[in-house]
Amino acid sequence: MGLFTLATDIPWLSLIWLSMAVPAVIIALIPHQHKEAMRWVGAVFAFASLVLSLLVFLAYEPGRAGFQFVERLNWMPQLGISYQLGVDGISLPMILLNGIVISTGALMSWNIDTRVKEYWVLLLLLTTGVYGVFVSLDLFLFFVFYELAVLPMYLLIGIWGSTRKEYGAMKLTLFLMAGSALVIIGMLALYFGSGLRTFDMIVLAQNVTLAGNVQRIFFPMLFLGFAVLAGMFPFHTWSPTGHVAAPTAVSMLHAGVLMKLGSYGCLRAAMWLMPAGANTWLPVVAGLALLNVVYGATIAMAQRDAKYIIGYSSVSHMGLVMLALAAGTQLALMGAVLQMFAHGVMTALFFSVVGRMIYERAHTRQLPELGGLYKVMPFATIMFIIAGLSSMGMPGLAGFWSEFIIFLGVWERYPLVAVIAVLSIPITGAYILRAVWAVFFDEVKNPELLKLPKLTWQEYTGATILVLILIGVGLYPAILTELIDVGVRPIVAQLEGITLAGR
Amino acid sequence: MAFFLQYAWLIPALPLLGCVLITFTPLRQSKVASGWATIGLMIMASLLAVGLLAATAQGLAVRDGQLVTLERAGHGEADAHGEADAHGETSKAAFAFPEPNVVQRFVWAPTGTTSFAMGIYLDTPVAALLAMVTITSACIHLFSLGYMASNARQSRFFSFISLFTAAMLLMAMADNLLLFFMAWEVMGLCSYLLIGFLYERPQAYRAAIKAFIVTRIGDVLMLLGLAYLYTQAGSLAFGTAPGEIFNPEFLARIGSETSAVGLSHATGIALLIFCGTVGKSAQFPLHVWLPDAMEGPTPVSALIHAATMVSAGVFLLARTFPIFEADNGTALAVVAFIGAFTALFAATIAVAQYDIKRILAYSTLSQLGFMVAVIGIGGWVAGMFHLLAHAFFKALLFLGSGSIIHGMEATPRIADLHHKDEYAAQQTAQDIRNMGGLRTRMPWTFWTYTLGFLALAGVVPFAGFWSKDEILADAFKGGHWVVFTVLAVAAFLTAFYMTRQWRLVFFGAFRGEQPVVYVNPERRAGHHQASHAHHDDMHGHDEHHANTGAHWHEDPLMIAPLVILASFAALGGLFNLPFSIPGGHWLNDLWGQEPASFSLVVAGISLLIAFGGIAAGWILYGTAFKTAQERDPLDVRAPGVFRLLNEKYRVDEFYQASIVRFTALLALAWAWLDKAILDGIINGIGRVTLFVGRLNFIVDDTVLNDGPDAVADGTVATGKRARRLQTGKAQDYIVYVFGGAVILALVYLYVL
Repeated sequence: MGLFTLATDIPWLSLIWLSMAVPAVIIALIPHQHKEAMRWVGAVFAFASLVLSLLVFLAYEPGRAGFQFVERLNWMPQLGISYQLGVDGISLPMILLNGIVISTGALMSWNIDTRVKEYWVLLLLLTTGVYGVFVSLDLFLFFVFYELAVLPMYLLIGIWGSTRKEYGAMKLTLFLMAGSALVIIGMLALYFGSGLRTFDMIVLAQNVTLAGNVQRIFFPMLFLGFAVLAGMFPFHTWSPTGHVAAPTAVSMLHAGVLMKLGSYGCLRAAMWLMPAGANTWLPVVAGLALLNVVYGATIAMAQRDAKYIIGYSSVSHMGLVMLALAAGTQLALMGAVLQMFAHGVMTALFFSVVGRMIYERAHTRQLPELGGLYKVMPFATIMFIIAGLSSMGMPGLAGFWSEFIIFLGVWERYPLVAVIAVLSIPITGAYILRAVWAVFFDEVKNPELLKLPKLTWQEYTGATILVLILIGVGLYPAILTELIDVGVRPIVAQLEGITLAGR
Repeated sequence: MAFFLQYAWLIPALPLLGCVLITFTPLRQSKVASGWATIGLMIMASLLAVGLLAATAQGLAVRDGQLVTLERAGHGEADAHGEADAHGETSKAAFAFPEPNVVQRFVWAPTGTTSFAMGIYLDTPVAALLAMVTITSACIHLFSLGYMASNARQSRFFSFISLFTAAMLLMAMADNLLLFFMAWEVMGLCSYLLIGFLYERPQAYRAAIKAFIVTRIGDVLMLLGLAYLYTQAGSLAFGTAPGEIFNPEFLARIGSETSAVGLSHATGIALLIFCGTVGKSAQFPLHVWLPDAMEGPTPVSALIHAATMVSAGVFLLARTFPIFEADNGTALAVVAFIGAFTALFAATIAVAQYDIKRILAYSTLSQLGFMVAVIGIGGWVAGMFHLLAHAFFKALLFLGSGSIIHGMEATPRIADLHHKDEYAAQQTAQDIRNMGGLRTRMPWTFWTYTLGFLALAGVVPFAGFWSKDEILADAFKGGHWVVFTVLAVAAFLTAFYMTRQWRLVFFGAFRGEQPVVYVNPERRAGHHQASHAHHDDMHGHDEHHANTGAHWHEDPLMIAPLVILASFAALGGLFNLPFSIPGGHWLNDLWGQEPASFSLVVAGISLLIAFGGIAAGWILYGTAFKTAQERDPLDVRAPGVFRLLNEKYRVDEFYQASIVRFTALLALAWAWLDKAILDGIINGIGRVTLFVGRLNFIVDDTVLNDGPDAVADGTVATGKRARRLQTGKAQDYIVYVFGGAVILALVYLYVL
């Protein structure tokens, strides 16, 4: 927003990821019986990282556009690898999103009581990786952080999860590793194919020397490697299983932020650095993403487990992001980034209600076993309904703007696809309202549920923060769209340049 | 007067304030206080809206903060388009909105290179709509104070209907289609919240979901229409300036350019936008939600499903009319067809219903069909006029039915039933077969209801006559014979079914001592207990004034709004009398449109139709239903047809069997695909990998392992041997060192 200037001699972006790595070390040193201390350290640092992200977010000047707060150190100059950080209008909303989700996720992790130390260390390492990816401008560094974000997930789900957790954890990890393998191939193609022998993304983007037909071979690999993490059809099945198995805060991070790493990678690495490949392959992506959108929404209708419903709704909503990426116009990319943010906040809210507020108390998420919870937890009901309304694009909430802008953008490129995709919105309405009815308003089937313990202050605080953000962005989207607008412009220019040259 | 123009934004802000006050302050603790607070705010909003209407009627406008007087449109407009008018009255090609009176905009969301400005855009049709909405809404707020008094959540009810009203007013005043759409969606949300207000009943919640989903199907297609329009125009702002959507050159361009699917852009945009109307105004084939929405409390039916929200669809059509007109007539033909079909289709269903509210619901569908149809044949003024007139008398009829139901629920048989099954009691209370003779028992309700009935049936001189007459006149003079005939038949049926209802409710003997009891198919033992637990505080009318049927109670708070609305139903026609007298053609002049001339032939036909329908109904039902259990005379004469109509042509069942089942099957099939096929492939890959791993291990173990093993063994053995040297004794080490030194010395001396 350019509201104020931050001192330039402080490495703000490094501080952001360090604010997650440092408490991981601190917690590792705390003796294991001091569980409460670990929670406080984790939560306080999580909020500190949110504050840092917010500072950078507010200090970024959209007028100057481009990358700001750039830090650069040589790391392995012989290999063209450097430690280079910077943020633009695409990465800032993502950093902010990660800050929001980890700080509320920390609040939702208060009830974890087994192996507290390991849990927090892994959670913070995971977040370190996510922050790192969003601030890296060096492809190699990007990849290092990316792996750091993906790996702790296996242990987090495998140890603290529920419902077929070993299977879920293993499936997720293998999928993501397979994706990583593809990403490496794509990276190496860029490194050698461009002839530049550098991983510097800015340099690679400014001189796209990779030949068009080479791009067409390697774009699918790079894109797909990231798209697996974004849950693109047919590589999405790890995602609902993973969401369901993960503990609440991990589901929040996983659906809220980790899937965005995938779409962010698609946008930042694949589409930006291989525009000619993108132009060839994006129609295929559009087809697959359309399947995601409709298929995910339809499957969500057939689920009985509330977390599966949200899991498949994530598949559907991330499908909208991929669809917008595939359209590749200015409006569509704006919508995509906004949708990443809106969906991240919304789904974090969903998982905190279903995973933390309901499951941890009722020990079931099966719709037929729940019912009448409005009487016990009206707050959770309202939170769930607001998240649901955002997911079905109700004006006044963040989801409306992202979906509206996406449909504007997709219409410009693929009107027919837009017509089919838009039908997912009533379906979304159907499964959300069905879940609302079954969980909160249907008759009470199990009288035990009426005696559930009250919500804790951490749950109130976390959910309130998320809901306020949904409403805030819904009422005044310009707070994000202005940044995103300048952020996606270079990528659009890159794509259009190729289109024009191709004619 | 300038005040009303400058502060027009207060009109939606006041009801919104009401909602906010109830939601966020302790005001909600008191049902009465929150009720009166919202009523007070609504009355203020009504006064502002009426003042605004008066100001715009004088042609006042605000330009750059200065008060100016617009040239009175209307006949003046004719000069500007004299050429088109030369073709005769039917030429509507010259349609143009009157000059806006107030436009206030500010920047909202920057998107791409442009930025969305938001604001208000007021012209005379909007001012008229605002006055109608605020007045009916104020009446309905007042009515709810009495009607909902026994509901524990009455405060929340007021906050919802206030929010709803605010959204409707904002929609009317929106300066662009995006804001219009946003307010439209908020109305949809409120509709969902209000239909499902009595969420203890599964039927109510189901109806709420159905209403929300079905209207949303229309909404999302409308959203695409907006996307289409935006890509063509680069803006969604109302107005005729370059870059705005009613710019004549722009309209000419989209009307002539053809899109990929062979329709002109204007046709494509118009039809997608019309989908929104079809959903919101419940036109065929998305009409199915409206009758079910009658599960909501009666004031909701009056406010949302008669007076305001359903009219929003028609208003959308009226608002974007220039786009519909920009093409070669395809879009308007579709609109006219859908409207006329719905008008007749719904009217036939209404003939065979027993539920007092459902009859009114189908009547609403039918009347909305009239409005849509007439706009489809270019009768813009007639459509808007009927929209305004219909809102008043239909709200009146719904509230009247609420008063009747309220009275019926207190009769001993139904009050008894209420203790066993609250839902069945209500359904029984709404059955017109169980009524009869209420004329003397509820005189106020009877007289006001009668005015509403006469207006709807189209009897001179009540409001409905004038507006319906204008619709028929437009169809007649335009030579739209199909539309005219269909609407005339529908008008006949309207008079007929309303007479049937009116006669069965108010005349004859009271049949409620032996009612036809509604059998609730949903009632389960568990559910009954659950609902009974909070039965006393939720639905306790009967405890307060259980009456014996001899003493019927009419709540003055409920009668007052009926009287206000009845006066509009009686006198509403005065706003647009089709005569060239002072005050005649008032709305035409106000809206700057060519006045329709009065045709004695059409008026005669339309009166003949109305009286014919009334006479038929009166005669047929004069002797029917001596007891509630008797069969309907139509049922006796044509049982097959009657059943088909009674079951609403089984459209719901058809949708259930086709679309809903298809979607559900698709969901299951895909879920299975996901689990069995995709996961199967994944697990298969996993197993294959594991197998390859084992295979590799065997190869590794037998072939590749031995070499490295030998190396390793050798290393270990060497280590073992070397270890013997290390004894830990200093003497031994000294011996080694000394021995080494000696050997080195010998080598040095003798070898080198």
